Amino acid sequence: MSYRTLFDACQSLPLHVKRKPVRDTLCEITGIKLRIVKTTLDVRVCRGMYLSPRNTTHRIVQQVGGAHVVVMPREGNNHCWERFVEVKEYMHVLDSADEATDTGEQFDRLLAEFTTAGQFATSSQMTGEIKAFWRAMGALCPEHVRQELIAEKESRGADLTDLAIALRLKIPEQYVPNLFEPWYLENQGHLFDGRHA
Amino acid sequence: MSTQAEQARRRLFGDDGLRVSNFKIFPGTSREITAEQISKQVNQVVTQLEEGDFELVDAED
Repeated sequence: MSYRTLFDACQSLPLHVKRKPVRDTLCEITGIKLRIVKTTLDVRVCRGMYLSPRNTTHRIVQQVGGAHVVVMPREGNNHCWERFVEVKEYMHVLDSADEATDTGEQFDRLLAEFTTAGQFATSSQMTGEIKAFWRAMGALCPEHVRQELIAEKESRGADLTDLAIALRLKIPEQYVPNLFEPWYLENQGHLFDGRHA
Repeated sequence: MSTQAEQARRRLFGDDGLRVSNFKIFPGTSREITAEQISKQVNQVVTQLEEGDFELVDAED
C-alpha cells in the first residue's frame, strides 16, 4: 500500500519511464482501478482532474466499473505535460483518508488555496496535492538517473540544459530544477515514512 | 440561480451526485483563475461523463 513500493519498482524501469507500468504498479499495490478519460477540459483552467465516484446508482460509476477517474483535456497539454499531469493524478490513489477531498467544505477550501495567494495554513487536501507532485517526480525520474544527472551537471555545467533533461525524462522543463533542490531526497523521504507511505 | 461552485459541490458530494471519496485537480496554465471557473470545468466534466462525451484512453508511453 505504499509509495515506497512504487518508488522501488520505478528504479528498474528504462528511460523514459512510461505511464503504463506506473499505473499498473499503483493498481497492484492499492487494488484500485484507474480509468483515464479525455474531455473538453480547458487547460487554461485545469490541466487534469482526479475523482473517485462511489454512488453505485450513478451512471458514471456504472460506466467506469467502479474505477477512479483521471480526467485529461483533449488539447493543450504537450506530451511531457500530459505524462506528468496524468501520473500526478494517478498518485491520488495513495492519498490518506485525511487528505481526500470528500466534502463540499473541503472542496471550497482546496479551490481557495489554488486561487488565492498567501494562505496561512495548508489544508490536508492541499498536502495531498503536494505529495502527489513529489510522488510523480519520484516515479518519472528514478533516483539512480537523478544521481547520474547531478554528476553530469557537475561535469558539463550549463551545457546540460533543463530542456535537454526534460526531453530525456519527458517531463515539463519547468520542473527540472526541482530534481536538483538540496531538499529533494528529504521530500522523498517524507513520503516513505509511516505517516506518508 | 445557484453558482457554479454550489452546483459542483452538489454534483460531486450530494446524495444524488457522484458522492466522490476524493477530488483533486492540477491547476491550469492561467494564473488568474477563480474558484467559479474551476467549478464550471467540474460541472462540464461531470455532464460530459454522464452523456458519454469522452474518450477512454490507455496511454502506454
